[in-house]
Amino acid sequence: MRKIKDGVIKENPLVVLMLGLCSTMAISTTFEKSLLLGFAVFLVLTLSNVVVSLLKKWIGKSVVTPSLILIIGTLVTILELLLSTFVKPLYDAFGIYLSLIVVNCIILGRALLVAMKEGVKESFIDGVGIGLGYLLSISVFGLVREILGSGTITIVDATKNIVGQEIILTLFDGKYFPISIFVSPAGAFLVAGFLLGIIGTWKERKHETR
Amino acid sequence: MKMGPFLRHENATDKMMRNLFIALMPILIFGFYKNGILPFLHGYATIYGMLYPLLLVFVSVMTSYVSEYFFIRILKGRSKEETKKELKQSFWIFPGLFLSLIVPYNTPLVLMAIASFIASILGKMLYGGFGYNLFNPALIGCLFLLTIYGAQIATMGGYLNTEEIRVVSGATPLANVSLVDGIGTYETLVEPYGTLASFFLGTIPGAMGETSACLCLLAFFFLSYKRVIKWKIPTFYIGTVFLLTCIIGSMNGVGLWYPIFQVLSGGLFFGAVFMATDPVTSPITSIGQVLYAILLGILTVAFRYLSPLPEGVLTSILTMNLFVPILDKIGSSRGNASKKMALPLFICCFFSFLLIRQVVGKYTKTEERDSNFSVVSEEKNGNQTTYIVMQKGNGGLIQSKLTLEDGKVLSFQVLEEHETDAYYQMVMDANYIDTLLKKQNQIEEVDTISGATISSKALKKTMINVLKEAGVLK
Repeated sequence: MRKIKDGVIKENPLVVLMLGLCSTMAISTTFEKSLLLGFAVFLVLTLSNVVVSLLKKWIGKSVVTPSLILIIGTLVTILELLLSTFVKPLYDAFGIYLSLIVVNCIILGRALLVAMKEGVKESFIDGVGIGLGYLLSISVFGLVREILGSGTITIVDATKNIVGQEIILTLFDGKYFPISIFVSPAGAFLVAGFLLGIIGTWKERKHETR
Repeated sequence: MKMGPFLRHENATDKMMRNLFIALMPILIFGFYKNGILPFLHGYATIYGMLYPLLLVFVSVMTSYVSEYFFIRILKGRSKEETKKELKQSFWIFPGLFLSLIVPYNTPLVLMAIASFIASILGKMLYGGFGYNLFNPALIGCLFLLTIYGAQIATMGGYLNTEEIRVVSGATPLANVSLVDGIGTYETLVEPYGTLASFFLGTIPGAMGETSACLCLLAFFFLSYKRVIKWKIPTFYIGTVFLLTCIIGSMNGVGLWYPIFQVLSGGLFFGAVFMATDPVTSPITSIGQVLYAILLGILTVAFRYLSPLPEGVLTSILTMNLFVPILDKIGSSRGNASKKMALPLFICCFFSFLLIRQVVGKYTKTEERDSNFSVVSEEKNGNQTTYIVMQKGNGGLIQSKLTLEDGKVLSFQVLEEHETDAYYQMVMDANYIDTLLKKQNQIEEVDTISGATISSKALKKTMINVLKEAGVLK
């Protein structure tokens, strides 16, 4: 349990380890997309950790990275095929960033660092923890960006055909707000900077009071 | 980096601030007069419109104070006395003050406050306060304002005050440059706004502080004499812009008025004297300053001619702010002046050369005429213009009749052609003329018909050349 909490807070992949920022910044223009990418990474991470941990005895030292990419690639391709069949709008919305999960530093990093060394149970727990951390942070990121940038909260849009109807909450649509720069890549960096700054300050304060 | 090596002691700081204010006062008063009082006297503005420039300054300056107070008191957690003390040494007024002098007249007060807040917090306090910031805070605020709300402000009138918006048809002088044919003439660039003297005095559309080159020049002399600003920077900055536009102008056959026009517009003087010389964000070493200024000149000219976005001065200063540490490193390395400057100067000359070539190429392209094309007749009928033209095809000249209205081709009719029947039939079967009409806006990207390349290309070129003739394409 504590390991999972670590994955979310102390070793949060996005905010602390700062891995996988590229896909994060590109996808998180709406809350829904961020949530779903978070889930995708969570799924792939957990599965890959388990599979790698199971197969680690057979992976030779000199072929570690290609084998890992092979395993992760297989999992991501399965995910891609499932998505393109059942939730095509979502597949289109992700675009290239779904395939980019293969080289997402988080998954590769955890596979190398944890799954190649620990047993199946530990790898699974690590995957869940880190995956949850990623899911939470990218969701917050996407939420902030969407509220500031388009004034809406999209809960169902690309997954319309599964759920049945759109659920988009429009919060406000004023003259000067929402500021469209926040849903552009430039805004992604701005929001990331601010969030990192806030979290960094908070951590500093915590250390000071200790 | 501590409290800034350029400040000696308390008295020097106070004196510097006082001199800076003395230099800014005429500019501020003139701006208020031009954008506020004059339109009111001529009956184009209400009392609110007259006082609006002052309101902008007030809101901007107050927001600067409040932002820094908020940051120091709440985010840094200091007590009331400590905050007041820190604020005294922090030069809090300048981001807001400068910002209010460069924003468009029609900036809503809310956005002015937001921009000033961003300038103080994002541009200055987050970096560590006065002395630690990398970028010019006022320019950061202005950049955000124009990037996010620029289009919105433009629809509300942009830089034009209430009188100019009725009387002057068109935009600010530099925006006009991209609208005129080719490189422009004295009639198209200068005369709509007055004479060159108007540009020098500042009675042209523009932000409050930007227009009066005359007052900025006086401020330059005053502040250089009082040793408040780094005089090398404006000198070499404006000098480089003048030299480059002189060369570009003469290669396009325009007289000396052209570089003078370029130098007096776009807020160059204000930016060179007040923004580029900001003590914190400009180089300390002498050589560094000269290189900084020359590169600023090159960048500004490049942005003005090669990029569709406005505010060349703003963008170039912010870009060069990034390079200041490197420039200072060059400037403080061992060796005499000429040795240190040789390589950087060479690189600058190389960039200038490339730049001039690029810009001149952009303008002379408009003179190129297709020699296989000729206009037989051009008839105006109300809003519509009908061209009868000839373009060389596969088997001789193709004569076509095109009708244009408001820059759009309404109809394209082939009157006479001598192409090989088989090929011509292919082109007609593919409804090529319809495709050309439909894709007028991206005409260059329309493919030719494979198998009947020459015939289809001739038709495509006919349309392109007619659009060029009508001034729609350049």
